[in-house]
Amino acid sequence: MTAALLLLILVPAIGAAACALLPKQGAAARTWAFAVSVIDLLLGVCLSAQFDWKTGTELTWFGSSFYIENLQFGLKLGCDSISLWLVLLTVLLTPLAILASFASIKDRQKEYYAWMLALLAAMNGVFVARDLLLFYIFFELTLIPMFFIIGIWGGPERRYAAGKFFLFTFAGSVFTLAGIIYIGLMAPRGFDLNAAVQFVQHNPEMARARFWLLLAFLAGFAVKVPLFPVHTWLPLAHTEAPTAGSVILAGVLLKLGTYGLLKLALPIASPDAIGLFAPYIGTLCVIGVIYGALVAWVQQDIKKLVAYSSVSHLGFCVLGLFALNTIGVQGSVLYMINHGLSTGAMFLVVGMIYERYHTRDINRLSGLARVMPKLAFFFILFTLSSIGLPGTNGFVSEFLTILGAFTSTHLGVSYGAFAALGVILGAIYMLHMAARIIWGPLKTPDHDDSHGQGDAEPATQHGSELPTDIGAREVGILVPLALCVLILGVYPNVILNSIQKPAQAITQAINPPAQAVAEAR
Amino acid sequence: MQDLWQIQYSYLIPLLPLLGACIAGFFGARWLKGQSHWPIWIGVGASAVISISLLFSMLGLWKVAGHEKGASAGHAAAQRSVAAEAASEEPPLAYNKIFFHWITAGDPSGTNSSKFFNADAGFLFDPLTAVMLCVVTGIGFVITVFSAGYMKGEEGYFRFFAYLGLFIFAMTCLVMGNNLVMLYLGWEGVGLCSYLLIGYYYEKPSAREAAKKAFLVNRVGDFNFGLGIMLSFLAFGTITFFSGTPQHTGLLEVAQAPLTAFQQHALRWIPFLLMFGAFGKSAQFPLHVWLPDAMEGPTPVSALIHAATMVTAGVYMIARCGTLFVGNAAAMNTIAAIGCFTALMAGTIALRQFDLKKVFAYSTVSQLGFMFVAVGCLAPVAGVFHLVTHAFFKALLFLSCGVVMHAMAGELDMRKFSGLKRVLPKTRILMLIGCAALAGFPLITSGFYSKDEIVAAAWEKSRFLAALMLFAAFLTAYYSFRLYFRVFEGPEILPSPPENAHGPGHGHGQADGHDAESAHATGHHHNHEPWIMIGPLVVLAIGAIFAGFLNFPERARSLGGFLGQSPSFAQSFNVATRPNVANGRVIPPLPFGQIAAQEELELADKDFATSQHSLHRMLMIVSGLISLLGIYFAYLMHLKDRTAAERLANDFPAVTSALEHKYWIDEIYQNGIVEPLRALGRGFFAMDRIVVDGIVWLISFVPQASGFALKLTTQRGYLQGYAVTMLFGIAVILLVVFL
Repeated sequence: MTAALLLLILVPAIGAAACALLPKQGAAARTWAFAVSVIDLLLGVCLSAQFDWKTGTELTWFGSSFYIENLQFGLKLGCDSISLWLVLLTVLLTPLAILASFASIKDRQKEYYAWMLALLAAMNGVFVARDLLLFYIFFELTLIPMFFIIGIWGGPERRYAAGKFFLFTFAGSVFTLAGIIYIGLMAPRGFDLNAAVQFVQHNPEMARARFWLLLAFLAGFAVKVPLFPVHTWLPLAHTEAPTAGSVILAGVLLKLGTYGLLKLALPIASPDAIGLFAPYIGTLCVIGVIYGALVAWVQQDIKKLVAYSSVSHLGFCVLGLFALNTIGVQGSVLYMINHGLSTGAMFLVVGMIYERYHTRDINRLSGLARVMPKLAFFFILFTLSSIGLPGTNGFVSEFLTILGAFTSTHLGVSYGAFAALGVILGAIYMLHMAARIIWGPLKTPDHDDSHGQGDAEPATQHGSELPTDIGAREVGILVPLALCVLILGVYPNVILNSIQKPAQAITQAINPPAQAVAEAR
Repeated sequence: MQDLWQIQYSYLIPLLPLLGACIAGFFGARWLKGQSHWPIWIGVGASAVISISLLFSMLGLWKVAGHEKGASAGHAAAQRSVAAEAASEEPPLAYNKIFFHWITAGDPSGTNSSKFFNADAGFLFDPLTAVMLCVVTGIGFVITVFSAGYMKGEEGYFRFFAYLGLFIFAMTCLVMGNNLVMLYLGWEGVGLCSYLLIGYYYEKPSAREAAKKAFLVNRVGDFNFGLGIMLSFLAFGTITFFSGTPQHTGLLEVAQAPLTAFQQHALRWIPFLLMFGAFGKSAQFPLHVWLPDAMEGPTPVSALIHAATMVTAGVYMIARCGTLFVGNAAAMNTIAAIGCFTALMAGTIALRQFDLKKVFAYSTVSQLGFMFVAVGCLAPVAGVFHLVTHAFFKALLFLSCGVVMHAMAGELDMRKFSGLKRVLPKTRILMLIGCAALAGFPLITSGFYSKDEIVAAAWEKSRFLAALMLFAAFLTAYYSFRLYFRVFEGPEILPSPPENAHGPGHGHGQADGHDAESAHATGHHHNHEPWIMIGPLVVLAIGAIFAGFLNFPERARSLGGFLGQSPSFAQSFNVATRPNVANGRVIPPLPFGQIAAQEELELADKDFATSQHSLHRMLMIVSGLISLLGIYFAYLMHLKDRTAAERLANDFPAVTSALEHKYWIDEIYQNGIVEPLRALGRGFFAMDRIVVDGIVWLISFVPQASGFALKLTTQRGYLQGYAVTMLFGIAVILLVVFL
């Protein structure tokens, strides 16, 4: 039954193609897309049911009929617990994102939902690919649907944002492709991911190559993450993307970068090259944490604020990875999932506000708790998750990534301490936003209109179709995320224990026991 | 110990209030409405019952475990020797209850460089926990009862009670947590509730800002606290306080064992990091600025969270982590110095405040300073004792304030009313009891005994410190009776009702945004003192008088002796509080983990006890006189001749201005830290748009061609544009590969 791995990709892919057959008008496309994504969610659940959580043995599926002898390229799929959690995140977020689009996407619905399903297929593909070339293909395939989603259904600057998004990530990943091709040519078993990793890791002849390969992978994945100096595509893409696009972008697409670092860059550059880079990457992460937080604090547009908060949060995530110890890596994987949940949820909430008031200006909205108590509840809950309040999921991962850096033999106490400053700054910008938007005297653009401040969109357009507070559909979108936030806050071990073995395998390749002792002294 | 049913079912203590909070929060708005207090009453009441019965069960066990010592002189010595015995002969009165592993990460085998981190969802039961639990749930319950009367008819009534339930949940987690991370969970949890409750009247910008400020200032402390946790883990490999196993793997136990060089080095820093966390939560200088602003919250919240329980968490934390602190003289001195400085600073500011709640807010800051002095002078028992008595009388004072405010239509400025003894006769008596306890009125109030112990502990450390503390005690007596004389004595003046009492004004009003109804009622002879509000006050007043006898110096089985059974105190404080010189006998300071021979200890204790005894008596007399002096000064300046204080203030305008501006600390922080940081953020943002983007744009100048192609093709569909880009990409790859 490991064919579920393939179905995970095929179902949404076929679903996307089938969108062409749907009638042009009406709600058929969105219902179809939602149904397909829910089926994919069920597939994910099935997959996790048959996964052996105790031993963590990797599920694999190999399509031998697709094997290309010359290239040694095969349709090789597989998933360990880390991949599986990320797949589950993807298949959970996508139906919610589709559901969130019901009210906001009005034109070219067929296309839109087709792209959403295609995106789902590609994202799943990245996480389950066990062939380097396949991985890269899916990695790049995610760009196309997102490019269109931003470019067609985005905000006023959507074209520029889509182009920038595409060019940035593509320019980076070109180097990754070069690295992948190099490995494929050198390794005896071609593009097989696990074999290639084994080959590079244990091969003294590859010592120099490891250094360059790491650089190549970093170029691609760091842009995707995005790491500090190459993050500028992100706020723009987030701001311009439609709500669902932002959710998927923040929730899953950024994780492709961290996943790539974890799954490829770390193992391939073990044991030597990665240690050389760790302090520099660690420094960039810490800068990103503080820089992202400070910039987020001065934003006027709440969506941009959340986007910059992602830059800050992903700094923590990568910092945990480059702590190169098990605590850090476990924390980092947990961070990927938690960030997907809480930032995804944050974008959903911001989207719901935008759908009602057609503004995201922090100065034009205030005191929404008065008219939208339910939304306020969720907003505050996800804010708390984002600032890492213990009891919510955010705390555990933030704490573990910092602790990882703190106790790391490669980074050390000062990295942990400086990154922890992000804990203060994170609270500053999130509570700044909460104080402006949720608390305080009520102020919405509706009130402004009477003073002659013309809105971009006519005031009559909103309010009529959407209830003032969030309705049943929107509550239904947020409740699963809220539950995840709380459950993972109270019992994070459900993830931590299951990823312990793969995380340890990765770090043990970097710090073999004997060497670790020598390094620590 | 583990057989106690209260411990078996101890998860009910936090969970019942939480359940109550969930019921009130989710069903309150639509169904429960004005009855929303019931789930909280039941939840908090039940956990109070469990907590109190736990305390009594543990007292029973202590009797079984303890030895009949006879009436020993000088209770300080008694508690030390009892503690010493507990440490050396019997297992401490403590039990570590684990429910499940909460956060587990790292490498359990510990073969590679990664450590193994484990934080359990578990509770530690020892005397300190039991006492704190009773304070939290007991006073918590009394205040929830009061709140039902006070908050009646408020908008968001259910919300208030949901927050209260959540608070009790977090606070009980804080005092029961068996490891630093659980403590941190409760710590931040109470911070959240404080945030939500300060911002209860969220439409008032001042409340919203105060809430944010409280959270953020606390976060600065928590940042240090978090680093302290991590450093403890790095150095000792565990963050669980007490293992209860023969291997002694708990943090408090390991810290007493022989230490490696790195551990010793870490112990130089850990106390400072934890201390700053405590300063944030307990509003000590430099992180005290949030507490006075926190008075924006409803008055019961000020009583419960910002006086009785949450703000004392810092004292609790340092007492709990005692073993990590005692070996570090620099840290202990810093704590004592900061405590003393804060006590004086806040005490002086309180002299020139006119808002009733602000006076008590600064008074709380000042009293917390007293507790920190106690902890810093290695007398955590005195600190916890003052914590308990303070919880009673300060809650009493705040709630009395609430009654006054209720009757005065939300007016809290003591210049606007006077002589309320006719209007609020019961409250007057209660407030008098509270003020007397706060002032440390000799012999009959609890505050006298607890404050006296702190002064005695300070005296042991340094005469100068004791003198400063006595001066702070004088200030306390003065400002508390200044308030009492002004509000309840003298000619009767009632505030004129606000101009539009029925209008929307009350929401943005000066104080609580309180009910317009009560504004209306001021003129009439309504019952301002309903029993639902007075009843809880009576309970607190009884506590404010009699809590002092808990640790009555002549009693063998005192609070101190009981607390001494806690693993946080048992060994370490016993060792560390031992004076180096007792009647000429020099006892060399002991390293961690060593306990001197029992006979030697007892001998030293006897010497110490006799000298201590007379000294203690002396100090009691002095501090009693000082308290009376403060009250007399307050009488002179605020009852006999009310203009006297103003004249004095006008004679020293600079001092008055400094006090009224609270030494400009808020302004310094705003302009010295917040604004520069924000400017930095703006600078970064500008850089983001211009420099970083610009450089990347330059680098990506080559792909401009394809970007241009993309733009051209946007009109005709995107696929071609993409194809061009793809082609370009492949070209680059091929280039790279073949070079």
